[in-house]
Amino acid sequence: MRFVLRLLLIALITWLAHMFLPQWTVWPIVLGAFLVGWVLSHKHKRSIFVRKKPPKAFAFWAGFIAVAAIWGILLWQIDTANESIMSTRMAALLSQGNESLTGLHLLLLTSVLGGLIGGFSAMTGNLFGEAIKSE
Amino acid sequence: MRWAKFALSLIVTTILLIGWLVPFGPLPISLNRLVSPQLGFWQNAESTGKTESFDLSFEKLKNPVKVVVEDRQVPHVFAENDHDLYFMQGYLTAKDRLWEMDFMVRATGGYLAEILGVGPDSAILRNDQRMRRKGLQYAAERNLEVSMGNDTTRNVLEAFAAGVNAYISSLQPAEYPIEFKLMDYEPSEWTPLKTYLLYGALAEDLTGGSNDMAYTRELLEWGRTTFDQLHPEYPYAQTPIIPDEVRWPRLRRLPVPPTALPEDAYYPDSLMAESTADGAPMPADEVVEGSNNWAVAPDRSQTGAALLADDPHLGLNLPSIWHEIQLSAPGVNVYGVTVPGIPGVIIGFNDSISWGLTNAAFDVLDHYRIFYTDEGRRYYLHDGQERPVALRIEEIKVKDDSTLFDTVRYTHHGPVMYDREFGDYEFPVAIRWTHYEASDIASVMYRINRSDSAQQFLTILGDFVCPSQNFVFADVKGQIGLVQAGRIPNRWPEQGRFLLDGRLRSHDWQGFVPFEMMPQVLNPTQGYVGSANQHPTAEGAYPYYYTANYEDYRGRRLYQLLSASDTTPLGFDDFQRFQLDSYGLFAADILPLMLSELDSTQVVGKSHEVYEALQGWDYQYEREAAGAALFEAWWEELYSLIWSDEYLASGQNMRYPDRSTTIGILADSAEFRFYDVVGDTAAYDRRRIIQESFAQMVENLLAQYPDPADWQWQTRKQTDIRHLGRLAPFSALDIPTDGSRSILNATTNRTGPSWRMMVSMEKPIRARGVYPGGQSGNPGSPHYDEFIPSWQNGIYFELQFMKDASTSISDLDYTISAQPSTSTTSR
Repeated sequence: MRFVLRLLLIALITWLAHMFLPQWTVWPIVLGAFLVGWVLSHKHKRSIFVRKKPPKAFAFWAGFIAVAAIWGILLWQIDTANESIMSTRMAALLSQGNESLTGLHLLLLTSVLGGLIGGFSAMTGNLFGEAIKSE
Repeated sequence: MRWAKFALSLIVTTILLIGWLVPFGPLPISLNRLVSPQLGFWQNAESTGKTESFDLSFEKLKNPVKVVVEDRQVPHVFAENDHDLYFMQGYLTAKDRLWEMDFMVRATGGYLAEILGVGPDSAILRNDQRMRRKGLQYAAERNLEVSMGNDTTRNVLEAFAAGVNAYISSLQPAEYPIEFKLMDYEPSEWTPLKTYLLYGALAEDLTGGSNDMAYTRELLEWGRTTFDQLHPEYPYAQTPIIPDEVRWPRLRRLPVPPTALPEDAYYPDSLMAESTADGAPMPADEVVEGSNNWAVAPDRSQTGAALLADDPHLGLNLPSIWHEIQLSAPGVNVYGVTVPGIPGVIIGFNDSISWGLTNAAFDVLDHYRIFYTDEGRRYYLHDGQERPVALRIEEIKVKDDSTLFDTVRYTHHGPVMYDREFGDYEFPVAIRWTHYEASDIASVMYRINRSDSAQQFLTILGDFVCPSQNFVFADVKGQIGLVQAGRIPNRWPEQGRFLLDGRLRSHDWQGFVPFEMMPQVLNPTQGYVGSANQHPTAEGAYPYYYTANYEDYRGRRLYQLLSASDTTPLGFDDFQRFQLDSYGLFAADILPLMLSELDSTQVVGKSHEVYEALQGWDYQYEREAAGAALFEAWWEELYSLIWSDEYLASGQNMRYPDRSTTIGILADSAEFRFYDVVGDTAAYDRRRIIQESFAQMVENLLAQYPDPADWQWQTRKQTDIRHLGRLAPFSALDIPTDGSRSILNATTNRTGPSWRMMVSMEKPIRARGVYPGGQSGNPGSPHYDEFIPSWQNGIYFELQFMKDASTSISDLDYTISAQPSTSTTSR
């Protein structure tokens, strides 16, 4: 449940940031994912009887999937409307003529990079929350 | 433990962010600015669909302006006054071509190192220095000063600049053209001076070359008689631009001074010319540029109205050198193309007259050896007096390096371009160029756009100075004409063909040929006029001395085609056929002789196939033609066998004889000094070099292309339309094309018809045109290169010349309505 909530919140932040704060690129995502990770982090009870392992990695995947998916969708819209003219030229430019890199690769690569930033931000926030709450 | 995990995660996140925000490896800029959906190249990916119509408001507009944009993205601008018209042109041009405008200005004015650094082998810095020393910036300032003194022109230039700047200030960094992002700099404010630097780019491109130094070298190397054989002033065959019926008064030419020719004494061996090293991202680095234009009178026209055609051949680049537009306001309604950054229309038509340009090619740039009289090089000798130089300090900013302050000395001739600080000459050389004659070229273009008759057109061109052009024109009254406009110096014979002596008053320029004496013709009885960079007049016909590199094959061919209309009137289909004509007159002139010199024992087996292909060839340079590929390969071998050994052995930068001169010598002389092979004592005559070059060609051919299916012109020549910043994926490369140099369809590897236009001056005016590019300068736009397939295959677009804003047009994409506003500009 928390996973879905995290995912939706980070996705919403990613989308709003793109719409309203484009010049800040990843910063709202970094900050937002961190806060979401923190606020929705688990509190660890030091108990002999209950040893509940908090799903830390889930924080990462929520951030990763949220950002990668939103960026992926945004880029797919741009790329489709553009009939991949720009991404194809840029793929050729960045690979210096190596034809194995395509516009779709760039689209996926960009989304994954965004996902990594979102994922690690969320995980850092989560671990921060856990560390504080478990003091 | 938990804090340790947190710290580890924080470190990974930080490293990721640094990798995202800081450029690394081969990346020119950070990933954030390169690929993020918000700032990166994705923001330059334009939608390929229709554009919604929209409104704009500008503080600087005086009245509403309406812009109609067709699917091809040609804007038709309807304004209520000149100011608003040029403001809107500035805005729309910047919208399409902002980076190109900026880059062309930098390349011409010498401001590239500021954004690109010194470049490989300092080529970029060197190019900047070269442009500064050649006085491009100086000339722009001088010319602008004249324009700014004229209220009308100043209004045009300032309104245009304000329009460009309105566009720039509307942009977020994410919206900057992709090249600004990749080269990591920002668009800077547009000024009238930048427009003048672009006029300078045209002057440089069309008149900035010179043979002075190479010819001087050759005169001293070969001696007078041989030099005249290698570089005759007139070709073996020609059809001059001006028809025979034009008679010139007999005038006494300026006397040739006794010191006319350069002496060995002041021309040491070690020189040589400007380095050919070219790593700089400069447009047009080859000189195979030329153009065709012509007009026919109503009695030779199928439409009963005068017809006009023009196709200027220039270096082909993306974004294209031309931007197409219609401009309409009270007193003007004009359609055509201009260089992005220059207001108005350079080649086109209005509701009364159409006009087209070709380069008149006149040598209007001379070199003077300068003799300083003091160590500090503050004074130089002239006419027995010491004259002071004026110092001009050029500040050349260099990215990631210290600024170069280059002191350029100006003599009364012009700037000392070469001296110990620049160039490989052992002595200082100043240049004089008509581009330095302060003149209001913007006013000339403004008035041409509004001219209403052939007579008025001619009068206006009297004020045109540089670059000298063949203006062909046709008006709605059925008048046609041609004038070589642009100032040329009144020279004594051969003045300026070689290095001049800066000390001698007799070597100074002594005024200019009066405009009424410039080669020109209005309504000739032959019923047509035309030019293709050939000699303007026949040898001995014209009273003044002029010199240049002319190209007479296209001129001869054009006149063959035009004179064929004696029996059948001409229409657009014929004009299209002429512009696309791929007939190689030079091949027709020489190939039969070459084939006849072959020995029958030589043409057996595969050689026989080659021979057959050549013999059956109709001299058409079509892309599949085997004959064109084989002839050119053979010609290259033969040409090189004749000239290369001697020219290379002399070890100097010289100018190889023209194709036409070579053909003339081959046709006339079975024996000739240059047929010999340096270092070989055997006797070589014409037969032997023709046979040897044929054998060599066949050998190379079979080694490279054993399959005769590969013997095609397009295997040997394809056209590259390169991105101005030399980014290959933003270029259109390896395009198979018909034609070649010295052919009406002068499409070579890097140059070709940069705008094909034809106009019928009927009512309403009809016109067609196409250029190898697209209206948008954005590589991420479908309109970036969309005309190239049409251009490649000789297809034209109907130009939609609207009478007024309410004229309906086919293929409407969207409209813009721009309003004056009192608040700040908004979009």
